[in-house]
Amino acid sequence: MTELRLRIFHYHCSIYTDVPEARQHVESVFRTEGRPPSGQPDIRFTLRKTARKKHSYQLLAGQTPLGAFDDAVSAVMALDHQLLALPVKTGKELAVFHSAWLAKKNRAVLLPGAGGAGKSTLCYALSRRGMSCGSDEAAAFLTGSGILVPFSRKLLMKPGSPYASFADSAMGRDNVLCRMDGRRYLAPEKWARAAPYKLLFIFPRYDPKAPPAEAAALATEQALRLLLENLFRLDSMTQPLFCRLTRALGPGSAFRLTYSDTDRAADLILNRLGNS
Amino acid sequence: MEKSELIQLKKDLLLAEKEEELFVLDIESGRIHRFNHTAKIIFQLALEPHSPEDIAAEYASRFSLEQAEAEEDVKTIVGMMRQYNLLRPAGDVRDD
Repeated sequence: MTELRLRIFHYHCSIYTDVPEARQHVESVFRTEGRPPSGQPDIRFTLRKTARKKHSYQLLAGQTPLGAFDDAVSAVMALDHQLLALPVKTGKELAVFHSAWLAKKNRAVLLPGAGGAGKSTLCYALSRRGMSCGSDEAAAFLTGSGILVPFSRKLLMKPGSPYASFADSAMGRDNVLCRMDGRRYLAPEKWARAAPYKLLFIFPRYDPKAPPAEAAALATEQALRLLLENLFRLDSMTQPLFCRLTRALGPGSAFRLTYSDTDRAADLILNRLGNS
Repeated sequence: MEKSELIQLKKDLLLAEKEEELFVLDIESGRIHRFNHTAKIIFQLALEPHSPEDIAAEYASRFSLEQAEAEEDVKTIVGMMRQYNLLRPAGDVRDD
């Protein structure tokens, strides 16, 4: 068994595995540079191969079985999902939105939206323009302080993304989940750190028939509704965080962005960030 | 209005003031409500159990209104609060 230690959101995770694909995936897709966390982990996952013919890959959190799988790729996909869902399952100290986010100095731009809105693509385009990446998938706020906590997984490019061809060629055979659905991962230029950023909200919608990039200002109430549609657990919202988000949202700091051209959209976001 | 009828906001509501407005998130239903400055005062008074008459008296003094006029406004806002299910049931009004 190999032990991998890494920080997922603000949790210290330990992953025990004897499945080479799991190690390849975690080491190649999650940010592992720097000193790994030490001491007692907050949560321990085990992914192991058993001698059984069916359901031979077992995934556990602590001693609790989470699932059994027939093949390594499905098991790695399940582990990846568990890591992403960690704050949703673990407790109420993080409120997590389905949103990409990036930072520049003391400011962060959130890009909330469902799958297909273009979060990862915009995230990479903004990363190439000098912004630090917090996540292309999850904006997690500490519910007490409102600090935005990164989810340091490489950016997931689905087949068809304009950046799919840029995919990290060095990953090669380590891109285990490519076999599942053709997904690829791209490392951002820089990772963001946890901080109480000043917030800008852009709700993106990719539409190939739309003009290159158009932004419409959102009133506070509209923006709040849209944002809360992307909150994974409504009961994770707290009074201080609700106040912070309500005060941060509104005309000048919340926009709906419809776009067909990723570069124009990224430039428009940077322009709004400069003006907000 | 009957003097015995106390009103109080239900639990599971989050309130955020922004400029002159009040935004209310009902954690139970997921709904967002927006109230203007005058309704905001009534909401703040309804954080603790109060009769509509007491709320109307405070409301009248803050906005320099006649009691009857204030009671009419309070009745309208409390009616909306009931309609949106933002108040505790009559038997559950208490100091926490």
